[in-house]
Amino acid sequence: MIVQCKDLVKKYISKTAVNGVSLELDEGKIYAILGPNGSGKTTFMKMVAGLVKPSSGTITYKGMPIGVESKKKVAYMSTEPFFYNYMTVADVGTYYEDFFEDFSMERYKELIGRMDLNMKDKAKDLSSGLAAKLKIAATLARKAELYLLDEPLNGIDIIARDKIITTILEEARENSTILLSSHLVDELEKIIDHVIYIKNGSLELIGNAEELRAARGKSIVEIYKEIYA
Amino acid sequence: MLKLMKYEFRKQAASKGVILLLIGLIELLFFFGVIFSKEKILAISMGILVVFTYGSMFFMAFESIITYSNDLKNKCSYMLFLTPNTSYRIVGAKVAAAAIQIIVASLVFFGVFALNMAVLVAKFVALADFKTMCAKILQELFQLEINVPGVLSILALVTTVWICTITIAFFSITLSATFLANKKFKGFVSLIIFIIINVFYNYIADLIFGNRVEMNKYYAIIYSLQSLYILAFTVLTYLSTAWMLEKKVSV
Amino acid sequence: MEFDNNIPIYIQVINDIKKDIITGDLALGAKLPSGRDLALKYKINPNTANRIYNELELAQLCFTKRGIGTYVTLDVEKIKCIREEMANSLLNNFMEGMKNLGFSKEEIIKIIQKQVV
Repeated sequence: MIVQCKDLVKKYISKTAVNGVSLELDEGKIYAILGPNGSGKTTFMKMVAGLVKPSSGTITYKGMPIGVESKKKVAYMSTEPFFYNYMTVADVGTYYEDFFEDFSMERYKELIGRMDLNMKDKAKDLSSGLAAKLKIAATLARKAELYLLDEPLNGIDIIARDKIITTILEEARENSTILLSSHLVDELEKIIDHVIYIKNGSLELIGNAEELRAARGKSIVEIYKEIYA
Repeated sequence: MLKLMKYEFRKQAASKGVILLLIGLIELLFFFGVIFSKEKILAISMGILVVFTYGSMFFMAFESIITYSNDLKNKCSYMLFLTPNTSYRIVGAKVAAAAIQIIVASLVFFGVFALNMAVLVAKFVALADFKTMCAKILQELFQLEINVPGVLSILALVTTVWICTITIAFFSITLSATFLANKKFKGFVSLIIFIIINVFYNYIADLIFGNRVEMNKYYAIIYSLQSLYILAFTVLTYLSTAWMLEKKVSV
Repeated sequence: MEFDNNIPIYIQVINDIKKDIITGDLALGAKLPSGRDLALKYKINPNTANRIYNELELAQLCFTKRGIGTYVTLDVEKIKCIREEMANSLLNNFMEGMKNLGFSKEEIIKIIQKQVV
């Protein structure tokens, strides 16, 4: 068990984003967290990443509270671009290398090549598609224990999506865990082990993807439509 | 923490380049005046230099504060807060980077002034006498000694006040962010808090040190003590800021 | 390969591999890709890939040499068996479908004869 949360709550002045979620993530699995916009997926991920502090409830990484030690092993990728404006693609790599021990510059260069990016490109001049690819390259060049990918296929053209999925699969090892959220559930159906459905900040359903398919004769997408219709 | 500081410097590097460039231009003007004995230009360029020095100091403080605010507000915050660093290190690096920048800047400006004064004294021999006369007047009128401890105490005071202003600003911004998360008037509230704290700590300083505008014989000691008080306040605001960031603030 | 997301992925990949074995695309005793490579090839989850090999091994269609890799069976009879199994499965589905359309056995035989000619 790599992540455990009990009755996790995040309240804002105007709304409750996460409303008492309890779940466990196991090592070596690929999880998809699904739900419409505003259902709490991003807030949940940010709490695991340590960017958002819970209002109440507990969340631990390998039994430790979220903090400096967990951040060494957790790689989070947000939906929006977040690199400093003055940075080039090369600068981003150097930054990650400076702060994350598990970052591999070699792997970064490989992924940059794969995504048709250039080390000299300036982050702020990249189109939204290339910016998205840069985020993924930087995040997946880390040999992290837990990857949190928020909408990794967003803004990526169809051809490149295959490359991204392959890259994600390459990081799926016995000792790594991947939690990703996406609206493009179709494309991710084949690679997920377990699926988590969040509705209005609460856990609606969590289960093994193949078992759900076998038991219900429905795809993950079909089950999604059922839950949120 | 050194790595964090490296990136703080890089974020604020562009403006330092501009400042250096402008100093260069002012110096060109000054030396033009010296070489061609245009006293008006000499005076004007020195005047500009003085104003520019003040302006740069203010600007640098402002820039450190705005950088901090942006780091909390924009998505760039992820860059900082995803790294395995405690908030104490993150804020500490910012304060250290700001302090180093101001010290280096002060030295640069001081050097430029000293250079200009040396050139002027060399050119206008009468100025050397003027300098000794000034020192004598100050000594007679105010029983002041211009000596090394005195100058150092003044420097210490100015430096600590400058750094404390920055940490108070950090504190105000963070306090506002703790309660107002993403509301639009967060910036306005942090400004109010900033003003209130400044008034408060100046009030305490007045209580302890009496009227600080009056200079007297012991000014070196008094200024040194004041610097310590301000330093303590700086540490207090720094620790509170880091604590709030660590425990309370979500980006 | 196109997947039907409504039925378990592993079953579909197993059938695809079975097909390759039967047609000879995967020769007797040929070396199969590692679990990870299988996952990358079909773009599926690595755990699913492992499960696929487990199932194939249970069905005695492949065997694992520890530390070296997984290989297609050398048992020709076994492959014939599977071939028949898959054919029967197709036939059953066909018969079901035709009966639902109301075709009699004689009509079905006639249609098949026409098709095969």
